[in-house]
Formats: sequence, structure tokens, C-alpha cells
Amino acid sequence: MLTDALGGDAVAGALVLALVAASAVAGWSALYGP
Amino acid sequence: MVETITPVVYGGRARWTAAFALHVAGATASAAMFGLILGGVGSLLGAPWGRAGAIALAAAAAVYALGELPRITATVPQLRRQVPDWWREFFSWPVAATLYGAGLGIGFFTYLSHGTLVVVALAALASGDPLVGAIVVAPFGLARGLSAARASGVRTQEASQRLVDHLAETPERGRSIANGSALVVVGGLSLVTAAGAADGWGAFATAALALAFAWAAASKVADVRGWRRTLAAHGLPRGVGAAAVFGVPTAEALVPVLAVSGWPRAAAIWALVLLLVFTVEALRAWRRFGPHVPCGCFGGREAVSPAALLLRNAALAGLAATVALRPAPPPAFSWPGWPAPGEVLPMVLAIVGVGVAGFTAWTATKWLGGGARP
Repeated sequence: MLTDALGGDAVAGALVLALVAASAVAGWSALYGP
Repeated sequence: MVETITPVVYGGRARWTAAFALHVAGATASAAMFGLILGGVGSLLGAPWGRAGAIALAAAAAVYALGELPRITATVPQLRRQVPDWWREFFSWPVAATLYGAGLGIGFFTYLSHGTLVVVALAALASGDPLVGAIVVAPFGLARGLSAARASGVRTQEASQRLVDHLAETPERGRSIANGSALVVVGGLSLVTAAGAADGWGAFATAALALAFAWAAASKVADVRGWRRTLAAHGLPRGVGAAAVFGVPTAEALVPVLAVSGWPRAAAIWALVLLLVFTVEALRAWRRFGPHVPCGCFGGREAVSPAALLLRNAALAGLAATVALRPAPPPAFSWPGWPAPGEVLPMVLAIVGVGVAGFTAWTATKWLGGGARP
């Protein structure tokens, strides 16, 4: 699935980018926790 | 947590800048390492799991996106630990700043208010690729580390407390929208990926079964005292209870071991045998205790209703039956042949080295976590 991202599959590449963005959002959101 | 990385703690702006850089590096490195391990574990479990993996990712994204809506709660697995205070006094400031970052980078050890990291971690696992795992999880650590920049202007203890209060009072709405939107995009793209992917249900069911039993075994070993209490509450005969303390987690651990060793059908049949034994014991406990059966399941130590227990066992049995009846996926791991005479010494040294490294890591983890507050 995601391994295709590095081989040029456009949808899988977009999914990896979306996950990178989601991961960053999660990291920043954790600032507001205890 | 941000109050631990402020100029007032590090004695001035110049030292804080260096400490902040180390904090960010530590958080990014530990998150990347966590993603790398998840990708590697996924690979051992036969990932990528094609359509099945993409649908599971979309489902997880949907659950946690819904959890961002008001009045809907989706449980986020987390240990709710705080980085130990004593690190700051015991270690030099560069080591302490790096360790603080590393402690926060994995995320699940601390507090998590959103399920987005669960979905990202699942994606890393489902990728079956350590590099992709590191690429998608590392931004969590990077952003979490960088977020400490909010403390750059803190010069006094009072200002530090004001910042903490301000962060705690900031409305949840903006973060819910950001996390929910990110999850909707991930879920939508996962569904598009699923449409063009190969089947993968057999490998996915094997992985799910292996992970469920690995979690069950690990949670008992990690909290042996709680597990002993649960067994005592069942009132088993003395010999059976004593044997079950390590016998049950060992038997459970055999399921993932068989699965990654290339014998998924044997793993599934063994899982069915265990589930049968657990179900018989659940029924016996039902008759004895009524509607609250003591359960040592998956780290939970509270009594559960027999219906929930039987339903969960039935779901796991269904998973095991799927694995047993479907054609076995190609093994992700194959046993090497016997070593040649010249390879025996390097093999022994490598095994001893791995053992020593594992013991050192275990001891260091226990020691570094010694002052952790629940």
C-alpha cells in the first residue's frame, strides 16, 4: 500500500503526505495537553 | 509539560536555544525510531495488507474523526506518564533536554487528547516499510518538539505558570477541527487506495490475531502483580493458579511467534484452543461471580460482563477461523539454515550481543522511568 509511495503512485504519495500533515497536527496539538 | 523547556529553567536565552534544539532533535529521533520499528513489525506481520490494510486505516481514521465531534468520545490508548522531574537534576542540561524530547516523541507514553497519532501509527504498521514508518511518524516528534518554542519568551516562574494556564484554557475547537480535517483526508485517500489494491485479508487477519495475542501476553507480563490479583480472584486450584501466572502469557505469546515464523494456520488453531479454554473459564466464573467476571484481558484489571467477554472471544475466534480456513499468505519470515562451521562463533557472539543489548535497554528503561509520576 504505502510502499508504492516511494515508487511514484500518485494516490499513495498523497496519502503519505496527508499522514505527514496529520502527524504534525497531532504533535502540535499535544502542546495543549497536561 | 512545556514549562520544563523554558529559558527560566535553562538559565537564560542562549542556553535555552541550544537545549531547545536538542529537545527537538530528541523528539524527532524518538518518533522516527518508533515509526521505523512499527514499519519493521508490520513487515514481519506480512504488511502491506492491500485492500484490508487500507480499509482498516480508513475505518480508524473515521472513528477518530468522529471522536473530534462534540459529545462523541473515541478512546485513545495512552499511558499518561510525565517525563520524570529528576532527569533535570541528575543529568547535565544537554542530556536532560534531549531525553525530555525523546520521552515526548513517542506520544503514547504521555497524554494524548486526539486519536490522530493512533491512525498515523497504524499507517506506519500497515506500510510494512520501516522507512515509510519513520517518514510518517517523525513529524509528530518534530512538531511536538518545535511547539516548545511557545516558551521562548518565558523569563520568570510566574510567566511560565501564565503560559501553562493560557495553554490549558485555550479552546479545544481549533485543534478538533485541525485533527478532524486531517483524519478525513487520510480516511478518504485510504478508501481510494483500497479501491485499487489487492485483497490482503488473509495476511491482515493473521496480523490482527498476532497483535491481539501479543498485546494480551505483554500486558500480563508488564503488570504481573495485577495479573496475579486477577488470577487470585478467579479462585483457581493452587497449582493451576501458580502455573497460569506465566503459563497463560507464554501460551498467548506463542500465537504471534507462530504467525511471524511462517505458520499462520498453526497460530490460528492454537489461538482457537486458547479461546476455548478462556471461554470455559469465563463461563465457570460467570456461574461463580455473577454478572462481574474478573478479567486480566489486554491489561484491563476491572471486572467485565460475561456477555462482553464471550462476544470478544467470539470475535477473536472468528478472526482465528478466518486465518485457519483461508489460503496461507506467503511467509514474511523464513528460518535460516544451520550455520556452517565457520559461522558458529559469529552467531553465538551475535546472540549474546542481542541479549546484552536487550537487557541493557530493559534495565535503562526501568531506571530512567523510576521517577515517573502516574
